[in-house]
Amino acid sequence: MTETGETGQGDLRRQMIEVLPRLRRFCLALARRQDVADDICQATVERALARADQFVSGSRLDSWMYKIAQNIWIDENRKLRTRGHEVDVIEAFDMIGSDGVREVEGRSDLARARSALAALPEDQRTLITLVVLDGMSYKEASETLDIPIGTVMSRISRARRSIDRHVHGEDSQ
Amino acid sequence: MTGNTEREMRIAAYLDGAMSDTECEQFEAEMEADASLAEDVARLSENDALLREAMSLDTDGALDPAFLERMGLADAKAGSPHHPAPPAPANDNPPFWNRWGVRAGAAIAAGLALVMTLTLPGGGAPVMGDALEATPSGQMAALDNGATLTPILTFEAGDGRFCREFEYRASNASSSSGIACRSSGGWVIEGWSDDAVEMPDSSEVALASGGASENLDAAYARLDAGDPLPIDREREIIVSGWSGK
Repeated sequence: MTETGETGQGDLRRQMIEVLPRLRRFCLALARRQDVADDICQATVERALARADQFVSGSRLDSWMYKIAQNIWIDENRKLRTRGHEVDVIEAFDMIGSDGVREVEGRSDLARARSALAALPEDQRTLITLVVLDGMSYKEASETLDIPIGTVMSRISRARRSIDRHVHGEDSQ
Repeated sequence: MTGNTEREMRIAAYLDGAMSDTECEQFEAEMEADASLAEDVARLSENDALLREAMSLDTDGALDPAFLERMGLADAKAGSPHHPAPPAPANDNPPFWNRWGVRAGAAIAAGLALVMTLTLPGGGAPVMGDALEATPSGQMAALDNGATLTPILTFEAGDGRFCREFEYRASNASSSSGIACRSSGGWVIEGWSDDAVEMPDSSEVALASGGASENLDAAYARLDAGDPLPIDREREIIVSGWSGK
């Protein structure tokens, strides 16, 4: 069953707004820069609206949009790598905070936590976002990212180990 | 914490609610007997909490009218019964929003903004210049000609003048975005996005020579626009009578 009519489109658009804050955070986890993340977010919404007839009513809209975002990011990331662009971890998660003032790394636990997340490999960042931040189950995360549950479990545990080292130092291990 | 992968995966499964009830009880019994395990679980749980706080959802930012407009979802927001919150002034957007091609106009004008009635010395509704002079960004002023004006943001031009982007909705419901700058105690329209929308009576505001029909992007470029001013700074400027002090 798919969304096809105008009413269905309208409902879908309203549901997208419900998802938007989390989608934006997911895109930030992918891109690590707010400006790039918002570009990905915008492209995701555009593509989702263009392909609204492919969304299966009753399934998870957030998972569907996350997949789209990830595909867009993979394409964009490939282009960036081709250009030799590298995101500086210190600059990562730039502009977080409603006051728009960048926090100096190391100033606070929150800054260290952001830095820890930014320092993770992309596959671990996305999983931590889905499982720890969004509260998805391992099964939901595995379906969203199209990876086996065993891979979810091992990546999550490795990610937690890295975050722990980053936040508390090597002596925490 | 040891490098034991299985131990780490069990801790993760416990924290993520991926254990069955039986597994959970067994794991908690192990924690009671193993202080080191309990300590690791507590620390990793604190890390998770820290991460959630550090990456908490910016709902206000994501539902800001300017952001929804950019996402192409402003109309859905306007029609949604689930999001009755009033719009945030565009000036409060975080700095990444600093792309002049992105504007909040349509969403705010879609009926989400509060209608602000200015009190004038002589009574009655304000003319356009009065509304530009006194209306904070994000609030809609009803004008004496039946139109409404909603300032979107305030910025400083390269020549030192304060300027405002606004949404103007004529009495026949046609609308246009505009840019006006304060010059010599009055307001001069420097940009106007839609020539099909009748501009306000020229007695209310002056029209920049050759600039009034210029589209907004061109006007922003010509004016050498600075960043949108924070809403607190805008408030100070309004109170100071646009002296900026």
